[in-house]
Amino acid sequence: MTRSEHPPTGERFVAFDLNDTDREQAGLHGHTIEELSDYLDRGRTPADPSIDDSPECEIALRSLERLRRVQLNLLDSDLSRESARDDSWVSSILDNISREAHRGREIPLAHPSPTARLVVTEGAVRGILRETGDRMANIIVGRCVLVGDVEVPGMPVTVQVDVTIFQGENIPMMADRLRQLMFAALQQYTELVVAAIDITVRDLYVEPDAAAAPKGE
Amino acid sequence: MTVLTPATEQLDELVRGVQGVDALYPAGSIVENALITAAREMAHRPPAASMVATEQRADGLRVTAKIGIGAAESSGDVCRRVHDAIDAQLRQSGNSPIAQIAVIVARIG
Repeated sequence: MTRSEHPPTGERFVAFDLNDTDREQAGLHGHTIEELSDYLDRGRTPADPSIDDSPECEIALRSLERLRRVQLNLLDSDLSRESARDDSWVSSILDNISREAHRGREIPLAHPSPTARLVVTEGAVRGILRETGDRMANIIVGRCVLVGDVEVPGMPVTVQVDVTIFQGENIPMMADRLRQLMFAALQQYTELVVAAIDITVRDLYVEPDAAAAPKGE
Repeated sequence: MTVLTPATEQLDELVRGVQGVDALYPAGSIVENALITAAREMAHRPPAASMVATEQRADGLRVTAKIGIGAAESSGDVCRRVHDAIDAQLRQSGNSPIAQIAVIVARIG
C-alpha cells in the first residue's frame, strides 16, 4: 500500500502495512504495535530501554492503554453479546495509533534568538489530540491528521478527525465539544494557525441486538 | 583560544530541572542510540546517561535536547525555558560560539 500523510478521500480508516518499510519501523524505534502491546501485557518488564527511551513508543503505549480501558468497559457492558460484535474497528484504531505516534514533521515554535530551533513534533501533537478525544466519554478517536504545511509558521492548517460515537449521544453536541477541546489543545501546545477542525463521525457504536432486546423485557 | 565542550551530563541535569520538563529522551539518531546501547550492553555497563546531544562543528556548537512535557504546560513556554537555560549555561561556562540550540518537544502529557 502506498502511504501518504493525507489519506484518500472516502477511505474509512487509514491503515498501513506494519512490515511495509524501514521508515515505519523506525517510527516506533524498530518496534511494532504488537510488540508494544506485548510489552504492556508484561507490565513493561523487563524494562526495555529501546522502548522506554522512545517518546514515540510512549505515545503509542499510552494510546494502547486508553484503548484497552475502552475495550474493557465495552466488554463489561456487552459481555453476553460479545461474540456477535464486530471488533474490526479495534484493529483499525491500532493501525492509526501506530501511524500517528511516529515523530512526523517538525512544527516550529517561536524564539527571538537566531540560534534557537524550537519545535514540537507532529507525533506529539497527534498524540495529545487523540488523548483529548479519549478523555471524553462515549467517543473513540479513530484517526487524527494534520493537513497543511505545519512546518511553515503562519500557514493555515486543518485538522481532520474521524470518530466513533456511542449510540444515544447527541452527535452535534459531542462534535462541538470535541472541536472546542482540540482547539484549546492546539492553542496550548502549538503556534499553528488552525483554519478548521473537521470531525467526521465514521461509526456509531450500537449494541448488537439492542433493538431486539430492549430494556425491561 | 581554547574550545570547551560542555559535559552533556551537566546539560541533562540542567534540562531535567527546567519547570515543565517531565522527561528527557536521547537526542541522537536512532542508529547512534542503538549503537551506544549495544556497545554498553556488550561491556556490561548501564545504559548511557547522556541524553542531550552536543556536536562541535566549524560554525560553532550545536546542542539538541528532546523532551516530554506535562499536559498542564505550554510547549512554547517550556521550550523557551529549556533553550534559555542551556544558552545561559553555555555562555557562563565559556564554551565555543553557539551555532544552534535545538529543543524538541517529542511527547506531551
